[in-house]
Amino acid sequence: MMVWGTIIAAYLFLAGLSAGAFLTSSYVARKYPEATIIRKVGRFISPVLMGVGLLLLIVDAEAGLKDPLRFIYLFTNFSSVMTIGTYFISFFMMAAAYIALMEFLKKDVNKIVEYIGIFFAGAVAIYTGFLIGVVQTVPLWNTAILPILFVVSGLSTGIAATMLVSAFIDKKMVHHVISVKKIHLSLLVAEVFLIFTMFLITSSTNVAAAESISMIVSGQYSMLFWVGLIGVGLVLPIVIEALELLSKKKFEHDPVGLQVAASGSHGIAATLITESAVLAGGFILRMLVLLAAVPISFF
Amino acid sequence: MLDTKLSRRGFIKASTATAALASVGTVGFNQWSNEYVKASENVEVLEIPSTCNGCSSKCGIIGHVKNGRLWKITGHPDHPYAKGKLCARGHGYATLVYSPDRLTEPLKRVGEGKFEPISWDQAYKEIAEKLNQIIKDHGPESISLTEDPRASGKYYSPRFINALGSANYYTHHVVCSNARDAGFLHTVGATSTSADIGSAKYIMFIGRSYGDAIRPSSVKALAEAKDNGAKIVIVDPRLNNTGNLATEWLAIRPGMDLALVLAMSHVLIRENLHDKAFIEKNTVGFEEYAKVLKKYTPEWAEELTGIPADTISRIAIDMGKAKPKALIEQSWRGAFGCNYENSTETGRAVAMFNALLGNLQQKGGSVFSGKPNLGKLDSAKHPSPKEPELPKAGVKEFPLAYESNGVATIVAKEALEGKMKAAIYNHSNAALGYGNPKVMKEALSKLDLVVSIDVQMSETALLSHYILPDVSYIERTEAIEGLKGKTPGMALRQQIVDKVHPQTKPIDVIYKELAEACGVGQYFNFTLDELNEAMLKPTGISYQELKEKGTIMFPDQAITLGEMPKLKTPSGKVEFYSETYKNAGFNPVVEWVEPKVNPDKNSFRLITGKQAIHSHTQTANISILMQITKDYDLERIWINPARAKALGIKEGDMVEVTSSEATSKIRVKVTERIHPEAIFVPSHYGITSKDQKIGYGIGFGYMEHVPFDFEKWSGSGNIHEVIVKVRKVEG
Amino acid sequence: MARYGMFIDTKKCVGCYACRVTCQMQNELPVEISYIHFHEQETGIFPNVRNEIIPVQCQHCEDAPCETVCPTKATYTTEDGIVLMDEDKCIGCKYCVVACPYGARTQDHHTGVINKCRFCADLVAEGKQPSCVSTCISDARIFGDLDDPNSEVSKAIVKHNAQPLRPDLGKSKIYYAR
Ligand SMILES: Nc1nc2c(c(=O)[nH]1)N[C@H]1C(S)=C(S)[C@@H](COP(=O)(O)OP(=O)(O)OC[C@H]3O[C@@H](n4cnc5c(=O)[nH]c(N)nc54)[C@H](O)[C@@H]3O)O[C@H]1N2
Ligand SMILES: Nc1nc2c(c(=O)[nH]1)N[C@H]1C(S)=C(S)[C@@H](COP(=O)(O)OP(=O)(O)OC[C@H]3O[C@@H](n4cnc5c(=O)[nH]c(N)nc54)[C@H](O)[C@@H]3O)O[C@H]1N2
Ligand code: SF4
Ligand code: SF4
Ligand code: SF4
Ligand code: SF4
Ligand code: SF4
Ligand SMILES: [Mo]
Repeated sequence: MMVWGTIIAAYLFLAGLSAGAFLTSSYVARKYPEATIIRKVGRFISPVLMGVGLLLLIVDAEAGLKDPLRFIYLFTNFSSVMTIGTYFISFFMMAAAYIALMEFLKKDVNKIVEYIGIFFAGAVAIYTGFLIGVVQTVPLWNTAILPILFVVSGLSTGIAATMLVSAFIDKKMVHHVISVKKIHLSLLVAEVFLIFTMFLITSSTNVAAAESISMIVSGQYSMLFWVGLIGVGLVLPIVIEALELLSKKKFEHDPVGLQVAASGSHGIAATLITESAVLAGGFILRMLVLLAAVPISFF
Repeated sequence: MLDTKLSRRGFIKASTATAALASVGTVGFNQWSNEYVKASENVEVLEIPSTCNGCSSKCGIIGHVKNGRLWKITGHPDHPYAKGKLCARGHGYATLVYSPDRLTEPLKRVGEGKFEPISWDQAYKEIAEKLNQIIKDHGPESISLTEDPRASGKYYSPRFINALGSANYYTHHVVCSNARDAGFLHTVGATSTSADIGSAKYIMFIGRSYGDAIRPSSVKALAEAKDNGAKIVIVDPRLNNTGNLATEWLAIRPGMDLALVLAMSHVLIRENLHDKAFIEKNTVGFEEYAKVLKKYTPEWAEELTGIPADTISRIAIDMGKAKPKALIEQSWRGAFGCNYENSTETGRAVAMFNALLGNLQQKGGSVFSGKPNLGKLDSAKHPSPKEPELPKAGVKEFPLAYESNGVATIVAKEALEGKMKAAIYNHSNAALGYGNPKVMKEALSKLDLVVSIDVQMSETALLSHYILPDVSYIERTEAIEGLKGKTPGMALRQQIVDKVHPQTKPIDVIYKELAEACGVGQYFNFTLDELNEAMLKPTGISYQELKEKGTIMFPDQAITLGEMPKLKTPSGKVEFYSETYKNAGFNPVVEWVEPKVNPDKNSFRLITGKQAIHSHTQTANISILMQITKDYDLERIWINPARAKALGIKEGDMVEVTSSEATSKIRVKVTERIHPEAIFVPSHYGITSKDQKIGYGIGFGYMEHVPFDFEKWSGSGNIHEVIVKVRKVEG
Repeated sequence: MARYGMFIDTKKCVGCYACRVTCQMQNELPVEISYIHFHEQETGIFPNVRNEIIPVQCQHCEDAPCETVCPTKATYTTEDGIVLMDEDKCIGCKYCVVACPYGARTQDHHTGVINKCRFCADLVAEGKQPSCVSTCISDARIFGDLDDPNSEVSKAIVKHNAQPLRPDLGKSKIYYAR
């Protein structure tokens, strides 16, 4: 039943993440010009991870792998979401790679290219949802919410990946970009909301979808869902981030506290845990969506 | 308009890796076929007519050959069993020719399951020496030959064993239709009738499934009958795959069919719906029969069969009204071919029921086939062997059995008793399929000489001292086969592709050369072509024409429906009362006989049946067919949900099946399609020969659970007289 | 120009797999690949049971979802409405496999290429019947031009009021009597 497996889940995950990381870096570049590490991390990891994602896609496409010239044909069918996505990814990759190169050469980034990058990063994030969202055969996928969910999750994993890598380089800075944290928290909360809304709506529309959802919620994948996605991937980071933001508010009125926070002694562990948890959750989400793909039946 | 991009180039290109392997006979069918398609796009396709060997129906086929390789086969449009169509086995069994597990050279046994190649000449010499020695020491009655009779075999095998002075020629019918054959033979003078299905208005099948145990044209005819609004009733403990074509399913308790038929006969007479004119003119003993039938009321049968008395009456009455276009189809193996202690009596009762309906030789009824008029070898030039002096072993014990087919398992019995000394098996897997394999093995091990002629390492071959490799049916020509039926005809199996394994030989050559080694070569002083020319003579058709057409029918020799032929019973009529039975020590009038064993609340009766994709044990090693078993879990046993629930068994669970003879582990299919009293086992699995790499280890062999036994009347194997218990075990 | 289609009578199909095997031979498929799949549905309780067998292969959909999603145009439709594969273009991304509502597409694991029922386009071009139709032992299958109201297939569809498996998912060209 599972035609697309782990590799495609990883591809969808990485594409969303890469777009999210790119958008994070652009946002940080604007909002926190001093947070150069975060900006650079975002700009470096996004083309690299998108590249890894593309490689995975190629590996999964066995026939193309055996005869790589065939990949040219990927650009030929404009009615296929995959063709359109291939264009999105290509433009995004070009822009992201250019920007990463400029960053590396310590040169100024062409604004137009950055806007193009931002535009296609958004397009890529949406594409990962539409790729499977247009598949009528699988009612679980065939919903308007799925692309939104994937965009939200893409952004949140993008932020998580950027913050995680940045934390290793500059502990202080990750606690400095409060508005990113706030956005991240809202995204996670939105994700929980979207997941349950999607389940509620789809399970009532169709038997196959209901079967998919019961597989996830109470069936063979329920552990992965409740512990992996909801527990680790969403609730844990929501709680930690919320606590952190709350204490941050307190610290802001207390100069001693601020110093403690900035030294990052307890903060770094929290960041590592939260962001890894978000990344794990993002991957599990893609995995679950592919695993629980129950096609329509003929009876 | 069609696009031209139809070739499968992409597919073939990538298979060049397998090209290195593609030397003759060492790769599977698909591997070479991929290869050869690559080499042969747009190549000319030769079409050669022949016959299928996927089962005893031997349907007409057309072999499509590209570059000297078999590509595919299609159904012969003129052949009466094929009518242009073939079943899955027919298509798939053709891949046998390129099976990597074929026997490729003569083998001599050097230890349990160990064989060494031996030259043909040496093999002939050693076999002949042993045969002659055994004949000298124990008489010709101590040697035997058993086979599934195919065109060449039917001619050559009995001739060979007779040439050695023995009458011991046997066929596989002892575990197929011996009981039905005996019942019919002594009632209507033929071991079976055929059925004019296409024109029938009311058809009852008792343990006969056209949709599982297939002959293509029969299914087609039944579909036509259905289109014409015929009532089609299936009597089976299992809703078999013919269910889709049926109007009603009677889920009978297994082994109780005799009660149903007796009660339906009772109703016909009670309701005055029997064909009195027909009975008057064409039967003997009706009075005695009618008297006996009085006690077999529908109420009596309801208790035994589990079918409501009302239903029994309704159907009998409706059939009586639809007569003569109503019939119980003659059936084959499923319910009373060889299954229960009452099977011969059931066969008899069915033949009699049809006679009550007066449907014999009527449109839409039971039909006695016509035979084509084929010639014989000139006996002056080619003398036939003398009649053997002693009768066939088993005839004494089972005088009602059809003598030409015999009771093949008598060979095993007499081997165990030390009376039988040699057995030749051609095209037969007796060790796995004729009786309990443990007993068969013990029996064959007692023999001084066992010879197998086969195409693969069967379980029987494994127990043989010598194995002689036949060429596959795709690579050989056989004796002309006469086709019986409403319209008689003939068909030729002929070589479609060159021999793949140079050391293999067809049986006409094997018997001739072995006979020469035995010193009886004078009875085989002709070639296959000479035999076929002689057979063709009265037809006026040339051998060349037959080779081109493959199947030729003789519409001018078609039988005329409505005219009863003189029957081959002692009275020349249908015998409701049988002196033959009486002389053999049996009740001359049909009567109710209990099955030997019956299940209780905690046990089941084990029943079996065919699956559309396999033939007996011979197709388990054909990968294109076995893959279907794997894809759809077809080796599972069937159990009724109510019984399964009580035993804590769920769909797909692993269970243990235990009988008096064996214990097997298998997964279950839980289905409403089976009677709560029965466990159904598909009959094609449980290959124990490791040389059959595809078939080995899948499912279990039904016969493992069947006690070695003979039904009193016909000597058949009583293969459903098996009680089993089932319990859930860990996978 | 024709619009080829098929009629399958599940009330006649006995699930004999002859169509599957002849198709494999015709198309020289590896044994583990089949263009025809069988779905069984049992209804009722012993002894009032019905078992329906539905042979499913590519339905040659109009506006075929597999063609729509195929990024390489390896999947295409002929003028006669037969959905075909250009195996030299297929990259094996399996998008068509997930998009096909009928599970009709299989991947050849030796080559990675996807394939499926081709309505025996080469035989049809020669004026012959597809292999699965000509061998069907119960005459449960009829093939022909859906646009010709006098064709056997059109007449059978009308007579039995045959329907596509999932008419709600768009038009396909195999009609089932159930
Ligand atoms: N696919 C396939 N077709 C074949 C063959 C083959 O091997 N495979 N072999 C050919 C040969 S040699 C033969 S003999 C024929 C056999 O042809 P059939 O006799 O038609 O075939 P079976 O499947 O053995 O039995 C038919 C049905 O009998 C049912 N049955 C079992 N026990 C009972 C019972 O007590 N009462 C009743 N009423 N029914 C019962 C089974 O459930 C089964 O559905 O098939 C021929 N055709
Ligand atoms: N387990 C089991 N037992 C059964 C049955 C069953 O289905 N399963 N069915 C019962 C029935 S109805 C019948 S009729 C009998 C049938 O019993 P058999 O006639 O013995 O049929 P198979 O068991 O198929 O064995 C046929 C043997 O012939 C070999 N063979 C195949 N082609 C050729 C060839 O071209 N030349 C030669 N020389 N050999 C060849 C096969 O490899 C195989 O070893 O079995 C009965 N017993
Ligand atoms: S019924 Fe099938 S296997 Fe038997 S001879 Fe005919 S085509 Fe071959
Ligand atoms: S059935 Fe599937 S493969 Fe065939 S045309 Fe429709 S979507 Fe494509
Ligand atoms: S697997 Fe091949 S046919 Fe299917 S969508 Fe991808 S490229 Fe097209
Ligand atoms: S139409 Fe041809 S390709 Fe399609 S399933 Fe039938 S035999 Fe196979
Ligand atoms: S050949 Fe005909 S009867 Fe047999 S499975 Fe296929 S569609 Fe059904
Ligand atoms: Mo048989």
